[in-house]
Formats: sequence, C-alpha cells, structure tokens
Amino acid sequence: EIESNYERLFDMESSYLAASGYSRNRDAMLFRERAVLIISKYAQCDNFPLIPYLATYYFDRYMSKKNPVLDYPRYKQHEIDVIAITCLILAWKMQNLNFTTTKFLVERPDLTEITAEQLVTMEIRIVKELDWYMRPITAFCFVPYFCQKLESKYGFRPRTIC
Amino acid sequence: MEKYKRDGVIGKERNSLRQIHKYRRQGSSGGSVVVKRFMLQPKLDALSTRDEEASADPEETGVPIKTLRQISLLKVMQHENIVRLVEMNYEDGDSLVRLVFEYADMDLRNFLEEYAAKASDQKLVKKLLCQLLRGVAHFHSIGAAHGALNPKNVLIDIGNENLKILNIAMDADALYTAPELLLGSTESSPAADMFAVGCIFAEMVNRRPLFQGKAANINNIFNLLGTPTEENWPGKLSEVFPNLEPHGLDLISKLLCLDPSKRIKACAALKHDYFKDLILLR
Repeated sequence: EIESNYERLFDMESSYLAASGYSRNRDAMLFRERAVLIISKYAQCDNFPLIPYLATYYFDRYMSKKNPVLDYPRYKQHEIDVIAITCLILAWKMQNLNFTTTKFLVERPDLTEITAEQLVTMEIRIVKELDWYMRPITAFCFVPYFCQKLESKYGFRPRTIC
Repeated sequence: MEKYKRDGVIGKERNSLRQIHKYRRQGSSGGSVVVKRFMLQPKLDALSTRDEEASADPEETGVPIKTLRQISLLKVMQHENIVRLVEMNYEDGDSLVRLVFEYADMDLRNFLEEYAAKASDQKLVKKLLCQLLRGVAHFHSIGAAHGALNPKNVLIDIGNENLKILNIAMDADALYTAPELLLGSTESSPAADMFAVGCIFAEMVNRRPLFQGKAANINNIFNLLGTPTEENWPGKLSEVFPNLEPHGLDLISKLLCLDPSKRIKACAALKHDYFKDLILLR
C-alpha cells in the first residue's frame, strides 16, 4: 500500500512540474534569468521568499508547457516581462486576500510599459495553461509541519538560508 | 452544455442569488452532474447586475482572488469521498468558466426519506459516517475547510453505498452551523465542519434533523447541549439517541462539543472506538 501511495504522489507531482527539457534549453535559460531579475526586483515583499518562489515556479511551468522548446527565440523581452509580472501577481493573489493589481501598479510607478489590460489577458492565459494547479506540492508544503515540531521541542524559529 | 439537460435545483450559491442546478447527462451513459460557473474577469456592466461579481472589489482586476483560490483548491481535491471535477469549459472569450462535477444517485436527505428501511441499518450508518469523516479529513489535511456541510451536500450512490461530499461554495444551512459561528465568528473552520458532521451523524441515526426549526437556532442548541457541564451531556444525549450504542454516543458528544478547541478532529474521530467493528472497504 505504501508503494501505491508513492506512485499516486508521483503521478500527481507531474502535474506540478515544469516540462522536461526546459532546464537544459539555452533560450529558456536566458529568459528565466530575465524573469528572475524582474520578479526579485518587483516582489518587494520583505523577507518573505514564498512570493518570489511561487512566481518563479509559475513562470517555469508556464514557459515550459506553453511552448514547444524550439519556439523560445520568438519571445521578446517585453513579453517575458509581462509574463514574469503576471506570475508575481498570481503569487500575491494566492498568498494575500487583500491584494489588488491596481495598488500593485501604483506602488511600482516605473512599470510604465505594462498595462492592466495586458496583465488581465496574461493572467487568464497562465492559469489556463497551468490548468489551475496553483498550489505546488513541494518541500515548502512541509515547512510549517516541521517548524511546529522543532519549535515545541527545541525552540527553533523558521529561517531561510538565502 | 448541450450534452446535459437541467434536472432540478440543488441549492443556492454562497453570497449570491444564483441557484445551482443539477443536470442529467444525455445519451447512454446517463448519470447526473452539477455545474458551477465562475467569472474570470469582472464584466463591464457588472455594476448594473445583481450578481456576486458586482459586489467584488472594484479595484480588483483579472481573475478574482477567491475564484483563483477556490478552483486551485478544487483541482487538488482528489479523494474517493469527494465529488470529482469532470470537466472545465471556458466560455465568452475566456471570461467565464464552468466547472462540471459528477453527482451521485441522490443526496443524503433524499436517501433518509426515500430509503427509510435501508437507512435505518445502524451498520450502514457507521459505514457512511466513516466515509464522511474520511472526506472531511482530506479537506482538513490540505489546510481547507468545507464550510457548508449538510445533508444536501452529502451524496450517496445507492448501489455501492458510497458517499461523496459536494464542495461548491453553497449557502450554509443554519441548522448545521456550529455555535461559535452562530455567535458571530465569521470564519468557517475545520472545527465547525466537525460540528456539522455531528449534526449529520445525529440525523442518520434518528432519520430527522437534530435541530429543527426555521431560524438559526442557538437556543435549540443550548437546550440540548447547552449550559450544562460537559459531564452531564451524555445523559441528555442518550435520551435523544435511545438506539445508539455507547461508543456512538461518546463520538456524537465529542463532535457536538460546544468549545471548538476541544471538539474532536476528523483524523481522531476516524480512530474512535465506534468504528472498531467496521470492516472496510479500502
């Protein structure tokens, strides 16, 4: 029975992973670099790494699933920026019930090249492509569980390594 | 939606005037489904309609946060005791999505009424309660709560006696609402779900709702469970459930515990002695 549980977990996990080949594609790497820059610049979330983590995770999955690997060169930097910012907005929406895109844009006045309309269109495109699998099954899911164990016994506090 | 034909109303959406319909599948496969629609972007004319979306934050653009969270939660709800999401259809240029869920033969309320003889089998009650708790435990294990458990949201397949929980943000029924929610707490919680499980268990045992009456009835709850101390509850409960075995009485008193922090949790309830003699059924 344990084996079948593992099998089920791995079956499910594949819905939550970037498509294979993505991590070795040179063009994809360049775009990912740009996206990580954009996401870390605009996340502005005070030591709370879950938001940029989620955003990058959505970006990887969207880029790897949306396009056949050969298709990467056709992307322009502006498009990558819109995708990255949209992923960031989706991450915020998953984490904060009071988030609004309008406020997000007001607080980041240098994002002049990106309009709310572009973001709305891209949001729907991304959630459709990710098939609404927005809650990753990763080691992150287990952090609260282990923190709780550690805290009660040894008095540790959660802390990130980066 | 051409493959389906409307087949009655099963409830009303939470915070909305919209009704939720059941549909019968056309063709040889038969079976019923429930359809729930979500707006993916606020309509321009939303302010002039009376839809739920109209009351959404006007600052909110793109996919509404609640929709994003709810659908992504539904995607991970894969469990044998929770209804399955069978398809998603995008419409109106992707501004609307319809989620289609499988339905079962009937809801628990109808089952208790129409199959009175079968439903009075206490072994079956135990089997159904166990399945209900498994489904609820699955919700709670991923950090969610159902929020509106009641016999209309609990579905039964007669042939194999399988139970499935329907989870589509319907209006909560006041008769199954935990006392802390009636007293002003607004957040639905796992503990509140467990109180509802207690009410449903009671209804299966006696084949009538535990708390009857028109209003959300805190007085009824206190009349039964109320101000008395915890020690004397089982005494009163045993009068209400004369045919229930002692382990069942103990479990029901733990499910209906007034203090949400002391109320039994789903995973603990599954290990309760009441289920000791249940042969399952993986």
